[in-house]
Amino acid sequence: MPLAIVHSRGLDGLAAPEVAVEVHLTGGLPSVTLVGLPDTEVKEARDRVRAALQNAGFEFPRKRITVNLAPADLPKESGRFDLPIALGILAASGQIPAQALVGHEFAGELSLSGELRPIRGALAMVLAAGGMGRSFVLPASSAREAALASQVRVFTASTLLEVCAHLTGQATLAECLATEECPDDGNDYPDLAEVRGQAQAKRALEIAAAGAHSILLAGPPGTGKSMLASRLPGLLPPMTQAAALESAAVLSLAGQFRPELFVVIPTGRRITPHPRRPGSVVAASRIPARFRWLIRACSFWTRSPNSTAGCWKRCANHLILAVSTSRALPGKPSSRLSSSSSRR
Amino acid sequence: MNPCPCGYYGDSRGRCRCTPDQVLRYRGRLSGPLLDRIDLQIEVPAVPAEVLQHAPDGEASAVVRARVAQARQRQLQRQGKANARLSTCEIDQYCQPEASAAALLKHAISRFELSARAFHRLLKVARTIADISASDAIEAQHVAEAVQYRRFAKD
Repeated sequence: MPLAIVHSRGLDGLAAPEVAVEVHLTGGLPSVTLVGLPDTEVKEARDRVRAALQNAGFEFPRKRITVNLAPADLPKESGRFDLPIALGILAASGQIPAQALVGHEFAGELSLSGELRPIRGALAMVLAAGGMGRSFVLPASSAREAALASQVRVFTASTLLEVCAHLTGQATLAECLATEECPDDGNDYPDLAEVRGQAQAKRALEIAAAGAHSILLAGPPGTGKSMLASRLPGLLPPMTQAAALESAAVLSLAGQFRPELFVVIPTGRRITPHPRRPGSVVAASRIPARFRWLIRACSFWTRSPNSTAGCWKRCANHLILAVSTSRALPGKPSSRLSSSSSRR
Repeated sequence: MNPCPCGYYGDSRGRCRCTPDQVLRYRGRLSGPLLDRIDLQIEVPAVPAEVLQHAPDGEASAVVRARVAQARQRQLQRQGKANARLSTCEIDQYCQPEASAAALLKHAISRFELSARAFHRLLKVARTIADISASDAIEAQHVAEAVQYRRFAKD
């Protein structure tokens, strides 16, 4: 059959709409055409896929190949379509059975040798795939975070050959399960007892943590504002599962998510995030500006000249907010932020 | 944030060299509407040398965290969400102060000229303080403490 359809997902903010990768082979001069609003990284998949297929021992068909990424009006970015495109070409040229592709969704970047590279936003994609009843095939390092969304089966693969062996029934890919680790009591956060004096500020931090209130610390330089604020994550109660997965998905979009910081409580499959590690929660400044307000846990800014007043108002409403230097005050919207918001 | 460009406004040794105009302009960068949305506004003063030389005195994070978790548990059992996320009608339902507390609140609103939004936020903070002390009712002491955390904007 000269036509194959492979299911994958794009990313649009936190949403991960379904993308069908359609590959059609026809006679004519050998060429590869990619359509469906592909970004530069997606267009470059042509060369990666060609090299990966040849190095994995497959034949790259000498035909006129048309790859369509549907829906046509959704912009597609990043290398996560490499694996679906490669599988589509293999299925359309009859090297793997097209029927085997139906129950799966695929995402992964290919290296020239045919190995799979990690992708960004795996958790958001798997969360969105929840209701479809398909299983997900992902690169090994992305699968671990994606397995936290327990309603979808996630298979982990490290090479293109492994995926093809799974689809032809020669071997089965390992299913990735959420790892169970012992709950950490947050010992690696700085301790509040290290701050001397400042009884009122400590009490205010306790109230902020208990009721999820926003907080502003003001005072002369060197009196301990940043020191106090950095101890706030260590006081927070555990997040709920929904809030945990949401903030994990945001971190996953920014490529910052570290699954080892999540704690899975075995009874009832409840996932509790680690609300108390600076790397996972506090470094909100590296998350794209338009997503920052989504993080429910705790965000801590010092010197954030890119914030607009609008962004800060949302923060004050949604976050426990610790402002520690005057540089963080809202001024005029910076050109970087306004250009990113106008793109949206 | 700092109270003025040099940071020493209000220092007892008079180290601040900023003009009143500079201070006003500096404070103006944080707009009133924004400040009004922040529940807890705390001044962090300089720590005296004697305190710094003593051994650390406060509670450890683990002790505070246990109290915080209990208070949050009370909130979730009562209303299914944290106090800061209560809507206006939920505030009417869950954050009714006692008679003495209501009188104090009325006085505080006129004394500090609090906005309607500030009033609601103050009630939510008072509710949290009552939760930390495991009290079902919002008493006058809880409201009094909550009012303390709104003073910065009025200075």
